[in-house]
Amino acid sequence: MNAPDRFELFVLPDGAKKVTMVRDTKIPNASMFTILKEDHTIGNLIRMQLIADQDIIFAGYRMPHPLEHNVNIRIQTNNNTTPLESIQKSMECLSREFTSLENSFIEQVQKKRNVADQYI
Amino acid sequence: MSQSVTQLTRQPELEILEIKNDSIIFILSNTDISVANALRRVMIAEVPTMCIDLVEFESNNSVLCDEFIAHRLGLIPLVSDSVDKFCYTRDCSCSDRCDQCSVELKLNVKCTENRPRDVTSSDLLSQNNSVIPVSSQAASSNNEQEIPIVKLRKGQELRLRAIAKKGVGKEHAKWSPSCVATYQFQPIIVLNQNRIDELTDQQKEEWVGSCPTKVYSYNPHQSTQQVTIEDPLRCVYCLECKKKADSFGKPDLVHLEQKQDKFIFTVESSGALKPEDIVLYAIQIIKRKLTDIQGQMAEGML
Repeated sequence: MNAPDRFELFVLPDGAKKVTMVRDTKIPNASMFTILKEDHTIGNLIRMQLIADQDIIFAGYRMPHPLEHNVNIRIQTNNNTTPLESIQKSMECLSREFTSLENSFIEQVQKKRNVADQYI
Repeated sequence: MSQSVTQLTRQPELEILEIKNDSIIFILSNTDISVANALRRVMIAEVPTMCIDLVEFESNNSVLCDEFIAHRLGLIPLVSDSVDKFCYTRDCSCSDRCDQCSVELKLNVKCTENRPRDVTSSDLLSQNNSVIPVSSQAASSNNEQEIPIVKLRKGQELRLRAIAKKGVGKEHAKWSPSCVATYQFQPIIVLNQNRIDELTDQQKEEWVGSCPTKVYSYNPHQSTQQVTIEDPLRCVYCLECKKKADSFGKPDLVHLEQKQDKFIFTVESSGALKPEDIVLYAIQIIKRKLTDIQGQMAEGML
């Protein structure tokens, strides 16, 4: 009846921006990023990568409501950098990490395939 | 001084222990638990496959109602190795559905004999040879693999058109390619042989038997008479062995620990995709998500 469409979970509505940034008005060097149609998979991944950065004072993520498929990532940095710079840096790190993961997985599967008897 | 991207990027290591037709076991190390969890979540919910999504009944006088049969049809795994060639119906340029975004399967069975007729997944005839029920695949076509749909009595008939579409497990679990996708920490179990030697044979047997998943083994008839660790991966950290050791008054008999930076993944496929493909697609999907967000960030900020 009034059930939301099943694809609302992952399809970005027309004209909506995937990522938006809102600066914190009270705290310097702090921003809230909202990523639409993402969940803990990406939220937690980015947060853990942000925390590894020494210039980050605070990084956290939340899903504001279980029926709204968005994540908020809040970042506060020291004066060496800005939240936008630091999140871009973290995303670059993650991209590289998954690229190397992909390459090593393909390589390993190839290796395993060559040993025919183990491939049952 | 800020850390550079190279400094912050981890170099994950991967080792495949075993690949079978329907399962893969590998160890992921030198990375964060959030990476392991993202990989697991994507393997379950975001790797696309093909599944029956719409069913049009032409005739059904079996004992099961239309909805019931439609649901059962949806849960039948279809071979999805060519899923990349299809697009999602919502993204497709066609108005309703077309060959680019769907596959039609037909089922037409009438029971004319006196004994009941089993309608199974192998009665589903696909119009596309690359998208067929997993049980109809040449290599594995034997009766045991067929999935029963309904039983028909004499005179009963089931005639329908089923439309398979591309989708992801987030939308409905039937699209999930993995039956099992889990990771566990590597267990480190250290036995204190000096303490074990202090036990009587009966106590040894009792202690080995205290483990519900049979991590340890002990054979009193063996000349060495030693308690050994048979398979540490079976350990579920129930600590029953620890409790048993305490009851013998020997709390330092065994030491249990989890190595929290080594993840042992077990992925089982439903048959829709090859297990190694599930993992590979999952990695690629996360990568695509990240670059997508990165691109949007560079573009539309401020």
